[in-house]
Parts: sequence; C-alpha cells; structure tokens
Amino acid sequence: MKHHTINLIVGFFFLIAFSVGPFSSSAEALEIRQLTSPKGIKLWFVKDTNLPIIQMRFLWRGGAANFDPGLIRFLSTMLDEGAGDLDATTFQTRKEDYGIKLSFSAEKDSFSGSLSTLSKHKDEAFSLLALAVNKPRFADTPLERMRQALMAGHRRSASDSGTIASETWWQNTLAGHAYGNAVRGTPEFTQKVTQGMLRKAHRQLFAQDNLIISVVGDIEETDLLSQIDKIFAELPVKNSLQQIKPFSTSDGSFVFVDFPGPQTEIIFGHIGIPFNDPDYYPALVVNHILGGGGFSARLMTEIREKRGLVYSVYSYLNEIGSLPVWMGRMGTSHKNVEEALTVLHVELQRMREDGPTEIELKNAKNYIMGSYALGFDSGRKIASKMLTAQYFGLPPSHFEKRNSYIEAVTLEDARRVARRLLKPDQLIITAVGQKATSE
Amino acid sequence: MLLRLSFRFSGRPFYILLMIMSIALSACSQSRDNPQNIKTDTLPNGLEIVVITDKRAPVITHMVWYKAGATDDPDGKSGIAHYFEHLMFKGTNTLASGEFSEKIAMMGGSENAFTSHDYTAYFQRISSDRLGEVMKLEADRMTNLVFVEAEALSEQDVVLEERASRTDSSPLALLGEKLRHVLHKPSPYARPIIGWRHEIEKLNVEDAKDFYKRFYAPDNAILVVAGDADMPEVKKLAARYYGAIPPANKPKNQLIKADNLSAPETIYMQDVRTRQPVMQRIYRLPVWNRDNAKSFAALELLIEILSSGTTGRLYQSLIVNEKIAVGVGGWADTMRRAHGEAVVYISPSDTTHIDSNIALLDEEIKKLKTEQVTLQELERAKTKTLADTLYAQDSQFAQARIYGSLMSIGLTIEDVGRWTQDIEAVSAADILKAANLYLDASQSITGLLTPPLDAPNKIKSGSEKAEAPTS
Repeated sequence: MKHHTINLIVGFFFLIAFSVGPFSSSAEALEIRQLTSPKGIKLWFVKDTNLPIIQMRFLWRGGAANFDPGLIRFLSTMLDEGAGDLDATTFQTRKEDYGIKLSFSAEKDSFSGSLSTLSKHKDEAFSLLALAVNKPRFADTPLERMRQALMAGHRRSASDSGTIASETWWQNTLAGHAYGNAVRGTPEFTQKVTQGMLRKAHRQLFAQDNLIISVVGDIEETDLLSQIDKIFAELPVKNSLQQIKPFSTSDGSFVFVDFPGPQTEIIFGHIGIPFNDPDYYPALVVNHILGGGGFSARLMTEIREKRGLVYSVYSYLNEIGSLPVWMGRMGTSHKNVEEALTVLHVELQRMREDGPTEIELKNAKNYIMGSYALGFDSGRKIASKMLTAQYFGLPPSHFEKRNSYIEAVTLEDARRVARRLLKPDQLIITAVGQKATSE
Repeated sequence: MLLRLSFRFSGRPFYILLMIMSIALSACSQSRDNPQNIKTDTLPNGLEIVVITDKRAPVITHMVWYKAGATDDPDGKSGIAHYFEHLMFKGTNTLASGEFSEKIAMMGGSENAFTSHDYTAYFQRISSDRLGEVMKLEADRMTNLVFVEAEALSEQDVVLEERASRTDSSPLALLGEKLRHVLHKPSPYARPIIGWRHEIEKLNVEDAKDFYKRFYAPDNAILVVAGDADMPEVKKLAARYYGAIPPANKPKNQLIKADNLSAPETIYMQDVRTRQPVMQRIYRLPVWNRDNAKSFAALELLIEILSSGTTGRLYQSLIVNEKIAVGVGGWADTMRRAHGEAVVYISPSDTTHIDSNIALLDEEIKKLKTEQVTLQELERAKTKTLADTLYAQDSQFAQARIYGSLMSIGLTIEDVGRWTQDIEAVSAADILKAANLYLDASQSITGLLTPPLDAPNKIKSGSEKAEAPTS
C-alpha cells in the first residue's frame, strides 16, 4: 500500500489567515490525505471523528454530452433501482432501513454520486454502493417507472420559464453541439431508451481512469481503502467514451420565447475564461465586482438597489468540459425588460472600458479571500471542495495557495482582463416571457 | 420535488425562507450524546443567547432572530414584516444605505435574512475573529435604523418583483396560497408571508416604522452563534454591543386561531403554464404544546411512513403497484406559534388519474387509522429521522437555523433535546392514535392544479372562495 500524507491543509492555513482578531481561533486542524488503495484506486480523505457519519463524493469525467442527450440522466435514476441479487424494492428498503443516503447526478460533462451513512452502518452502505456501481440490473419494471418519472420531469421543465430560458440559451449558444443539449434530452428520446442502451452507457462511462473520489468522516484509513477496492476496483481500467467534437459558439443574438406569466426571465452571457488560464483569477475578481455575490455588485446596485427593476440579478464564470462560459440571469416585469437590458449593457461596457476602481478591487479581493474559509465548515463542503480540486488536477496544497492568487491580482490585471472577458456586442441573450403592451 | 426552497449563496439572495420542516424538523435535535456543545444565557435587557460550539473550521454563523413575522402583520397590511426585513439593509444614523453589506463583504462575510410567519432572522457567516464587528453592526440596526422615503419606495418595487418571481410565476405557489387562505381563516396564517400584491402596493414607510418600534428590541430577540465560539466570549461581546439597547417591554400579539371548517374543502385550479398535474392536501393541526409533543412526534413518524422515500406507503401503492402517479411526498410541520400543518402531495401520471389517486390516498389514511404500522416500518422511520438529525449536525448553519427557529416560537433547549427521546419512544399504537387525532378530514383542504381541461371534464374551474380578498 502506498500513500502519503499532506498535513495541515485546511486548518493550518486558516489559522494563519485569521490570526488577527479580538480572540484567537481555537479551530481544529483537519488534514487531507492523498491515498491510493491496494488495487490502485486514488482518493482524497479527511478523517473527521467529530460526528459518527461518513460522506463520500465521487465523479466520473464524461457526461450527457458524450452520449445521446437524455441517456445519462436516465442512467442516473437506474443505479439504485435494483442491483446484483437485490431487486429495486429490496435495494431501496435496505438503504432506507439503515438511514443511508445514496444519489447519482448527471451533468453535461460529468456523472457524480454521493453517499452519506452513519459510521455504524458503513458496511451496509458500501456494499449497496458497490452493487449500484458494478451490477445495476436495469430491469424492465423499474425502468418503466423511471421513464414515467422522467416524462413528468419533462412536463415540469416545459412549464418553468427559468428552465426554458436556460435551455434555450445553451441551444442557441452552441447550435448543433452536444454541449448545447439539455441533460434531460427530449421526451421523444426518453420514450425510446432501452435496457441495452443503458447497459452500454454504463460500460463506457464507469471506469477507473476517469474516476475521482473524496471521503470525509469517521472511518479508519485501512478500512476505507479496502472498502474503496470493493466498490471501484472491479471497474474497467480505461473508459470507452465517445470523444466530444470541437465546438464553436454563435455570435451575439437575442432570442425571445413567448410564455405566460408576470415576469420575463432573462439569461445572458458569452464565452468565458477557463480555470487553467492565467487570467482566471483576475476574471473571477472582475465578475465578482460586476455581478458576483452580495448586494454591492454593480449589477445588483444599478438594476435592483437604484431602480427596483429586479429581485435578483447575478453573473458567474462556469465551465462545461472544455467550454468556459460567463453568464448571468435576472427576472423582471415585462414592461421593465428594455430598461433592465439597457442598464446591463451600460454596465458591461463601463466595466470593459474602465475596469473596476481601486476600492472595488480591494473590497472584492478582501471578500473573496476572507470568505474562502466558509467553504470548509462542514464535512459535506470539504468533500465537495476536494472533488473540485481533483477535477481540475490540483494538489491539496491548492487550498493553501489559492488566496495568494487572488491577492496577486492588480488593478492593471483587472482592467486588462475585464476587456478580455466582457464583450457586450457579442452577448447572447434569451428572454422568456411576454412582450410588453403599451398602456 | 415541488417544495424545496434551498438556501442559495454566492450572490443569489433569498429573503423568504419557507421552512420545509420535514427536513428541518427531522433534523431538529442535537443528539443526546453531545449536548454539552450547546449553551444558553440571557442578558439583563432580555436578549436570549444560544451558542452552538463546533470548532472544525475557524468560522461562525451569527444570527439574530426576532419573534415577529408575517403573523404580526396588521390587518390589511400583509407583507409588512417581510418588506421591513428588506429595509433593514438600508442605512442607520451612522451608516449609509448599503454600507452594512459592504462592511460585511469587506470582512469576507456572507449575509442575508429571511422572514417566516412566526419570525424574522438576520445572519452573517464569517471568520470567527470578526464576531465582535458583526455584532456591532447588527446591534446598530436593531435600534438606529433610518427610513428614507425614496429608498423605501424603490425597495417596494423589489418586493413586488420578488412576489412576481417566487409566487406569481409559480402556479404551485399560487395554489398553496389559496389553500392556506381557506384553511387558516381568520388566523394570520391565512395570509402569505410576502403579502397579497394589492396590499404590498399600499405599504408605506410609516407602517414600517411602526413595525420596527413595536417588535425590534432585545427582549423580543434571540442571538444565536454557531461555530468556532464559546459562551463566555460570546456573552462578553453580546453584553458590550447588544447590552446597552433598552428593552421595549411591549405585549405580545394574541394568537388568533383558525375557525373550524364545516367540511373538507377542495380547490380546483387550472393554469395554462401547468403541464404536470399536482394534488396537495393540508391538514390543519392543533397548536403545539408540551402536552401534545409526544403525539406530534408520532405524527411525524406517521407522515414519514406514509409519504417518504420509495418505501413509503404512497410510493409503493400509487407508483409501484397501481402506476397512476409519478411522484409523492409529504411532511409534518408541527412546531409553529399557532396551527401546524401535515401536508401530503401527489403528482398523478395524468389528469385522468386524479380521482383514483385521491381515492387511494384516502384508503391509505384510513388504514393508518385502523391498523397498526409494522415494526419494520416504525423502526425504519425512526432510523431515517434520527440519521437525518446527525447529517444536519454537519452544518453549523443548519444547527443555528434549527435552534433559532424553534426557540423563537417559545421552545427551550430542553424541548428540542426531548424531541429525540420522544421520537425513539413512539410505538405503533401511538401512531394509530396520532392518525385518528390529527388526520381529521374535516379540518383538511385538498388542492388540484391541472392544465386547462375541456369543459365537460368534471374538474371545475377556479373556486371563488379561494380568491384573495380584493380590498
């Protein structure tokens, strides 16, 4: 068995970062261990015995975009609907009898799972997970039941203006490319999914070389490693996913979808800056000042606080596989759509041309650095942070260094990157609502 | 599916938190194994203090809970508690409008607030060495808020947009409003937290000032600090910042109970936006007190057995066996200032199966009233409920929210602790009793939301008595 330990990552760093104050912090340090199981499965682990629970998060690279749209969402509903020698009802009964939480989720570029269990029921929990991962049955009766549930999901999506706006935005931005398709696919496709299609997708996607795992909780390391082998070491070493074709995004456009209701739901955005780009952190700071968290962002101030046009407006950087995007959303009364969009354009242009002020930059950096610790105050959050870091190929020491990247952003960087990031003339907008009628 | 309103950080503000108590309540108790991490105290001016120590990360959640919510809105001024919550983010006599939020952000803190029928709460999540600074800011707006007409007017537009976005855009939310309007009359629970649109439009700064003077004072508030903090430091800082604020010594509002319904009611609602039909039933419950706490614990397990997960009776009956539904769920919200609710919902597979779903729901409820649940069902419900309390302890924010919400309606730490024991002690006979006691059809209302249906169909169009008052 080979494993090495990187000490003091979470706690130590924060103790240093927050050492000035009226009383010194007595927070405990948690260490992140980078482990490799006897059969070669890698994972990150934080032992936390404060609560008698274990939380595991795992993710396969490769998602809805590597398959026919809708297939992977269907797959995500079927893994706990009977596996190995347990039929659906027996599997689910065992899960609930022990208070185990197990769920799977499909995204455009990933397929992830989450297991929470009381540590005293860990053997039952891990053996159920091993069955779900390795031996899902895809039996006819539960398959038809999940098909009906997914069809209901399609009906709900079709009656939600927010979902319509978002799906239209992606389709419109990536016309014809797999990243543009909704993860849920179409009702027509959901009707056609067969056991054979699910089996094939499961075989292609679930492998060792595209798998990442993080675990937080009350379990001994040696026990965990042998459990991990039972769950994941039987999977094929290499995945056989279809590769995703190169994409191109559309030029600026405005698409309007007529839909009844009191508000128009608006999604706006364009291509962004990827996480591995040297300009990523300046872009993060610029976006924070423009439309990121809190009430002091420019879009919030101008559109909500000064004009009362919306309840909520925000923007963010996102990444789907190899596609970085910058996007945002707001909802406003039909009569205010034009004014809200005008203010949005003015603010994008202003940020692009002048960048942030020195004070805005300082405040934003303070917030982004100071709030970083808030993402580590529960086992669930730590597990998810560790999954994200692995997804981007970062070492655990990233958590120590990350704030120094924010600290290093200069006003010049922010101005330059604002110009690179924001392209108001290439904005892709979808609006779902009703055209304002003049009164 | 329909009823989860999650907390959304990262710049996606939420103002009303509809506490979904099936989640929150099932998580409402610290395990008896480590109650020593929770301490309470009271300042001379009446401010109650709760500290929930969790030192895994050097951050804290600081909350102030006011025992005032939408039930305290004066008649004809529904929405004032919530609108006022928005105004708390404006200026004080030493801070300009928006400066509160700027200062919190500069310290790396997240903040927000939420209003329910029973309470209003304000919180910051921040590095633990900033506790004194956030207390200073929160104490300042407890007593020094300044009202500026123009800001208040613009905020009224924001609230109207919030109503449009959360309620008017959602047929399901509109159905919930209609159901509660009938079920809880004339109690203030009959009004939506955010208020009726025509009443929000007429609110003014004077209403807000009155609400502030009456309810925002240390003797009507609870300070909750969770995370990397201990009682001695918290109390010292609280005394420094909150201790100087005088109590208001105002009487509490009298609880107005709902009138009994003469018969079960049904409300039919059709909406062009709806594609997936929904049926929702709400049973109105008696007011929580220490005498009925044990039977309410039995009710919570009953609702779990009926409607939770894939092993629940409704899932097995309607979805697995009969295949006439695509989703079911439910929760019991027993701990409120006045009437609680037990709620069950069903998503029928299509509109032709609505009647058969309701018939089977009634059959399952009848069974619960006449036959004891199995031992396996009882044990499973207890295990799931108690496991959920442990999962909830992973989050300092959830812990702070649970204790704040329950203490703001008058429960003590001991009441909350006893809840776990009550759950463990429930027998199958208790559940049978609770079913007969609380699932009283005559005090229930059923709502049906469908797409527009053809005229000959027996589903009627919207019922007048469900309309909001218009003047």
